[in-house]
Amino acid sequence: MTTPRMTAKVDTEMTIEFNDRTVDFDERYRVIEHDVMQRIEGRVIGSSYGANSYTTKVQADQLAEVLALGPESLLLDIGSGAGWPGVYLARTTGCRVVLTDMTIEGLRVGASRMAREAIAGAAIGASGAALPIRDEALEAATCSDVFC
Amino acid sequence: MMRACHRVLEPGGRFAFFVIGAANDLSAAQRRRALEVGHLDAGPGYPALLDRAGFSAIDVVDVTEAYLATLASWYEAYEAEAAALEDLIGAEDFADRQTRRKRTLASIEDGVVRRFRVTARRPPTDQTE
Repeated sequence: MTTPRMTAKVDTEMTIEFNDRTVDFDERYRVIEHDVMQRIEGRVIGSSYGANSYTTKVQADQLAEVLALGPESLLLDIGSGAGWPGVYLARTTGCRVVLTDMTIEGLRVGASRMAREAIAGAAIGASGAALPIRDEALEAATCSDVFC
Repeated sequence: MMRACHRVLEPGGRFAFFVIGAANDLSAAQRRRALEVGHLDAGPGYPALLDRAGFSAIDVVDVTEAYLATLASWYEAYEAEAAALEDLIGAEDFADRQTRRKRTLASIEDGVVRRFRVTARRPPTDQTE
């Protein structure tokens, strides 16, 4: 079996090279706020966060339960993209949230939304394997389809 | 990444994630097929990884049925907005995304690819450290 070749460069551009294609995630995030994208996302998963996810609103609400999120919680969302479901969970439970991803454009959109909605937390460009967060700082962590 | 999550969670902290992976007990040809649609590891393999990283109370829920419905919905919604999407992202990117969705849908229907929700806790008092 061949091993897929995956490389990532974190600066102003984010691409991942698979065996047969290169995906420019920053380019994908540049169109997420367009009307048609928002319309599709709302229809498919019930969100409006620029997500291209398989985590539905119902499943996000289940995450809030199993993570026991509340106003005292600090949640880490690894591979958050533009904030689904991390920012949504912060808005619905009152928790604070730290978004991390290697896609700078997605984090930019997520951080702007956090500022607009007065959600406490941070957005950090980082790999989930090397989190720039101090030991034992968080009550909860989540990620959606980052391991695959 | 499991060890990194364990490190940043407080004792008693909770970790919940979704993961898409190849099903267990696949033939070599089926594993190649799972790899072709971008998935490597089986969900049931994650309990062992979490355990090695120091997590406890590990639970795995198969959510493949919902995954299949959601992916089909992405495909259908894109088809319904095909003209606008081809203008926005280009006909080639649109076709590529839809082709990959169709291949993944077929892999799910054939039992090759599955999706799981995995939950775990960092023990209130670590046994591993």
